Amino acid sequence: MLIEQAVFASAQTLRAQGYQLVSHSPGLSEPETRELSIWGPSHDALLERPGEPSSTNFFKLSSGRYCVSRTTSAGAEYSGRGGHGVYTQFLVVPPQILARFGNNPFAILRAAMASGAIGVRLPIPESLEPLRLLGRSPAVDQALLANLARDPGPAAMATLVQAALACDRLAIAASVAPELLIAGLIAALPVECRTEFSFTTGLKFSPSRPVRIASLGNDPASWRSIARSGVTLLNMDKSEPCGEPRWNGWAGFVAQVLSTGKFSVLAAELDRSHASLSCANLDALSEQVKANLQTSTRSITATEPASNQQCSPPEPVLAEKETSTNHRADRAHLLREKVQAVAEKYAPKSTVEELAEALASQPPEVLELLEHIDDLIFAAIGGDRRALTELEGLWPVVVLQLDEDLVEQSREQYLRCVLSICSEPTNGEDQRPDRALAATDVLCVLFGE
Amino acid sequence: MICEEGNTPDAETCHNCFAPMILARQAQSTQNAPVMFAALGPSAVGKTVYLGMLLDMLSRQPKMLQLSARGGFSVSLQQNTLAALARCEFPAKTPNEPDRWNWVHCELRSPVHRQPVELVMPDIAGEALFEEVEHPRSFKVLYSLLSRCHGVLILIDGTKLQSGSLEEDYFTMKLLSHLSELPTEPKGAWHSRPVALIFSKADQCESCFEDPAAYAQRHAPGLWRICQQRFHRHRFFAAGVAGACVTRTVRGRGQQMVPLRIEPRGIIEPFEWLIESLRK
Repeated sequence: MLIEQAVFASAQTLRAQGYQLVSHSPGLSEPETRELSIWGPSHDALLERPGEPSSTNFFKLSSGRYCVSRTTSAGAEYSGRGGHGVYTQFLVVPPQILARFGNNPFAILRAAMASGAIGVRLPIPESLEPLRLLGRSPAVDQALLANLARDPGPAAMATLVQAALACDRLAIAASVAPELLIAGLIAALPVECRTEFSFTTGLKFSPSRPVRIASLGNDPASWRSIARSGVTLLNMDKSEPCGEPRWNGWAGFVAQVLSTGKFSVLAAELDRSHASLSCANLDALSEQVKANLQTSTRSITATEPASNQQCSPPEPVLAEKETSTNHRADRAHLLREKVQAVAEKYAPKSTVEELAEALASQPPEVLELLEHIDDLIFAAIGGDRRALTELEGLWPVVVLQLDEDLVEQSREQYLRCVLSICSEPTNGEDQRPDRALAATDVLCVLFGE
Repeated sequence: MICEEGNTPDAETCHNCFAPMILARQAQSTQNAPVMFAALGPSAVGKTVYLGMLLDMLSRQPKMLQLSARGGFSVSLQQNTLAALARCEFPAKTPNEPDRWNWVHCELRSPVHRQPVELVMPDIAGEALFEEVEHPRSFKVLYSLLSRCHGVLILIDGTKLQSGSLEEDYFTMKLLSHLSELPTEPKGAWHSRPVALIFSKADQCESCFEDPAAYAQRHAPGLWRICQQRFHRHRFFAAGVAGACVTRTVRGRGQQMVPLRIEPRGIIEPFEWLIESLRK
């Protein structure tokens, strides 16, 4: 199965002059080419933003295939009237291929870019070949979610999810790059629901190009007329702070995941197949996963009530854990005791006590977050690449949320633990180079290298 | 007003054809339905420049045809065009998206009409017209507009015809053929509606001005024939806005046409003829 492609730009061809579908691969049907010709953005269609203006777009064609496109400013308008040309490359993706990439248009685009298939080609070739994209992508980009949990924050993201689910047409204004926001929104939605969200990240609003999610320009004066077109406007810079339970259903779950940093819980949930799930029946699933999340949190607190107050060195988890809802295991306790003993061996007692004292004064949500970081660090040292990815995203959030002193003390303790693990044989085995490498990776994340 | 679809009172554009709803609201305040004209032609033929200059000239003319804009939006087209020309630039390309077209609603006073005539004219994108001609009903606004308008100004690039290119000839033949096949509206079939055919950029091919009909017969025989056969009320004109043009190369933006001076010729005549034709 192949991905067909087409280029819409300003050019003079034998067929016509001006903005047109200049070239396309042979597998596109006549109705599809007509649909793309009408949808194609023309002169001055890109929103003005700092840097190179561009837009990622996604919508469903009448044929049932999906269109993922990238619009950039390139070349000049063919007729010599001045102004930059607008260049759009369409990828027409069969549903099966989109599903392989987690129904995530951004993942398709990334894969196509990585293969060198996306980019401005001037002069535009007369014929284009269909693409074959290999591989697949995970359901959730945890690093992206971690970044968005930092800025614009869990509250804004949950508001975005709630508004997107509630509105059939939503336009977003935000200081955060809309491409990141919309990518985050897609990543936070169940795979089965993602195709219901057509979007454009950087094209000017046009009722002739209907999409479910669009972004707004910087000029608030233009927003009013858009609102009158029946579009809900969401100003992300004015969303409610986190902590107030204002989000329902799936948005509530997303708020919980982002504020606790448990992206792996979301990833694990979205990795599962949910037959016949759609936005219409998403609430039932969200109630179920929220209950699971609360149960897992309660069980952690019940089994180890004082662990966080004494968490220097932090408590580890099994590297081979299957889902992040299984946060504790017997082997983990054994390993923690061992690590604690090692850390105490290497760290001065006064330092450990200082950290324990500092942690004792932290609120429960911070302790929970640190506990999760512990899990991730030890899983990452054990070779779990997903844990390392999640740590890469989550650690900067932790750094922002905690006092500088506490961060430094935590870093110091983690460093001691990592060093001790690297230097000590594990379960009687000789020191393994891959374990040392994984530990080094963890240190790089913790120290921002 | 264009497609006659129902819309909510606060809608900015028609949900069906994307024409601005302010036209319909303003038209409701007058007794007579507005007259609609359309300036048609392929991309880069000079529709925006022609319309902008025409409106500017008519809005400043003390006698004969006098035109006054109804609503600030109706002044944008002439303002943008004249501002661009004053900077020695041609106005930016009209976007393909119908909701971004400039529409003009104005009141026209002429010696041949007792009462002022309400006039509506859009500045459409040539690419959209091309798609509509190739695949009718691709753009609902164009289908409705072409079905209902009282007359058209069809622009043909005179320089291209002179250089031997037949693209303009073919496109205009397709367009006229498309018009003649449109369903008959109360205003009558297209063969009885006025069609002004204007050779644009005539300042670069002076022979256009001498005898536009003969120029058409010589350089666009297909077009000339279809007009003779199917359109009883047609006339050829020649018009030019820029007195002279040069090409300059702008780094990173390719070649750009620069109008050196503004020397409008033959701008009002086609429009005047259309207005007179309304009475017949």
